[in-house]
Amino acid sequence: MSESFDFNSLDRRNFLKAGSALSLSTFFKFSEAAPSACCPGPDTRPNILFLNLDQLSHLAVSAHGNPYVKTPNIDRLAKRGVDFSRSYTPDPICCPARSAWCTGRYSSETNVVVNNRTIRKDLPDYGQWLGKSGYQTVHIGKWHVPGRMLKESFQLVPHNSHPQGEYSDNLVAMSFEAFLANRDRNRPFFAQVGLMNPHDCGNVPRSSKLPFPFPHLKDQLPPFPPNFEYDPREPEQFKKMFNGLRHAFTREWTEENWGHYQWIYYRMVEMVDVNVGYILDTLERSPDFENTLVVLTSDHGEGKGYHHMLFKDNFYDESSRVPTIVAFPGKVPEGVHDEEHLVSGLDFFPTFCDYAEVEPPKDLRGLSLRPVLEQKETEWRRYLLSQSRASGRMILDERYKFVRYNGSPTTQLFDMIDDPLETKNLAPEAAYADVCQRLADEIDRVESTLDNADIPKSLLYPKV
Amino acid sequence: MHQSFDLYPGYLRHFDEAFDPAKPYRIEYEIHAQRNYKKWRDENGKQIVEPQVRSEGSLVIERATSAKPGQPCQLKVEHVRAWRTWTDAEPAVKQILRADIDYTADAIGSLNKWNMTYHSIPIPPVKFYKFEELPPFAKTGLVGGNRVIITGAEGTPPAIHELGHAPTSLYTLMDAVQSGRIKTGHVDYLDDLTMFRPGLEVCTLPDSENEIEGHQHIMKGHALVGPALLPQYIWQDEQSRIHAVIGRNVAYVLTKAVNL
Repeated sequence: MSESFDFNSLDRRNFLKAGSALSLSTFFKFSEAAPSACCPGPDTRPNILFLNLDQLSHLAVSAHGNPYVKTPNIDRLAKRGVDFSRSYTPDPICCPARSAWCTGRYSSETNVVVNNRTIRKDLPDYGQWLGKSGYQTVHIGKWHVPGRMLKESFQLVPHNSHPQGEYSDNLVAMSFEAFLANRDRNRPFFAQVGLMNPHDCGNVPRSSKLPFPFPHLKDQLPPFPPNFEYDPREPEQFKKMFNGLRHAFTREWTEENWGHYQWIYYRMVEMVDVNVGYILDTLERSPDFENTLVVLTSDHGEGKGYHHMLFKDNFYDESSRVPTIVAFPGKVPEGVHDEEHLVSGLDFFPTFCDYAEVEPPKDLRGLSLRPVLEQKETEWRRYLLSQSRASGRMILDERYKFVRYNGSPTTQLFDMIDDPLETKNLAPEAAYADVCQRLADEIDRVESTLDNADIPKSLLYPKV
Repeated sequence: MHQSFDLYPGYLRHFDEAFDPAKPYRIEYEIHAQRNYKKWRDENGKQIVEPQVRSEGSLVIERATSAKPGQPCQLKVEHVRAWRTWTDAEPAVKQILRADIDYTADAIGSLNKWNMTYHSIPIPPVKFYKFEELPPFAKTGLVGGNRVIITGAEGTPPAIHELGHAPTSLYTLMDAVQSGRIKTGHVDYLDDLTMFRPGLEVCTLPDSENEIEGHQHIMKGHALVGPALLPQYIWQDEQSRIHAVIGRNVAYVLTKAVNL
């Protein structure tokens, strides 16, 4: 069977078979280390719902203490599962983060170090891997992994799209409902549901230097964020980004304008929270609820005025720290707020494989969350590495965050316990030279183990 | 001109034909979605080209009878969103929502009950969408006793939402605005007749003076604003036609308004 197989000639049952076969044949082009197929008999392995949002900062969830937004549905999921407080994206921008999720490899390895670079062909993704093992794999909503056609990874595709969340996320949620009502009940499903909001807050600045258009609601506008004033000793890449934002948008913004931006962002967060609630309600009312692992996360966060920043693509917590919440009725304890474990988006692929009882591909960089979720003894990472813009690296340990960029003489070190808002850069201080060196060495150690793609020097060492 | 028109004034149309919103009508809209906002400004933040607004769907609302204030009434709706995989690609999939809505011709177009279908189909030449194999997904909604009950798949318990305010929808709210019955206050909102967004406020906006295709118009505006929704700005002309419903990145722009 070839990739040019005519799907229109198939009835539903044969389509499913063909979909499996297609996925299989495609998969074997990528790796010979394929997992074994599932055991004969009824396949009772858990369903997996990977619910991913776009641009949702960890700090933009009401369960995480933000008074300017109400996210009752994300909060509800947190109450019935484990809410990882120290969860970071592998790369704080869309395509790189998503390519890292789906392959379990750093963006420097996937080749998607910036948006719209194509992914390496030889790395299998979780759709292919779980499909091969017998899962019905479905993708709904945002994918944004360049160079990997959805049909190579998912057997059942109601649509692929990248539209504005404000008019598409409702339909993504409804598509999940339609899928669940019509799914193949002889096998478990892996559903990747990509909701777009609150991504399109990026469109706000065009007009938000205008007065807030609802005078009677002005008391809802958030004030300047607490770290609006910050330590300006930043790597050149950050300064360039900051200056670009100032030039294009924010130079004349008043506190009302900054508040307007945040207000819009939080309404978009609340919008998508309703869609999350719809999906959770749909699942909870279905017979699949008890046997479905739910993982909710976001590809990156949003600056929303912290450090004078907007959008993403930097290592401040607002941009790089994301919610990661996992729930599984009866299998994962409820109401756990985990502030101990450093969690990466690289961990999802091994976690899915663990619950699916599938040997993961070789060389995944993340760790299965399962032992942590089930509160079993396990050796966990001491350091968490994240990458950005090809040239940037961030590493965290239990206390510090260290940031460096190729070509920039300025590094950053923040004490995340004493200074969680990242207002004081400790890197220039002699007393912290050893800490900086230890963390820099750890970056080098991890990087030396990676199978990096061929990234152009212009990206690795950009002019700043 | 009100700031909500920021992206879209060039897409509004002028209509010479008479229109009476009290009579049976059919109104048709294009959905414009804005993308590629980065390309809209140069490095100095100066506007350099038209925003890359694209037509990505349509909305048709038909009311076959005259509406008597306070009395039950019916609308037919077809709401189509056509999506592209990438910005420069052709639309690859259509999502179609069709609904028959029973509502009350009151100040907000309070919902009573509705039947709707939701259908996702590929647009050739894209051939790998499984959902073309599935029938339209049907849902019904029923309002009563301060609750709204939405029934979906057979054998699945319905979704039940407790109402704090009378429930409305985009379509019936547009009818209430267009018919001049609209009053400010709080509503519970059934977005796409499905997503429950309670506690929103209908408020008035200052009039906006707009030039549309060489004609000056004084537009009257209302907004739906509050939690869990980007503000929706509803603008109508001197003959009450709703010219546009504008969100943040998406606008419904009137293309045709006729009495039946």
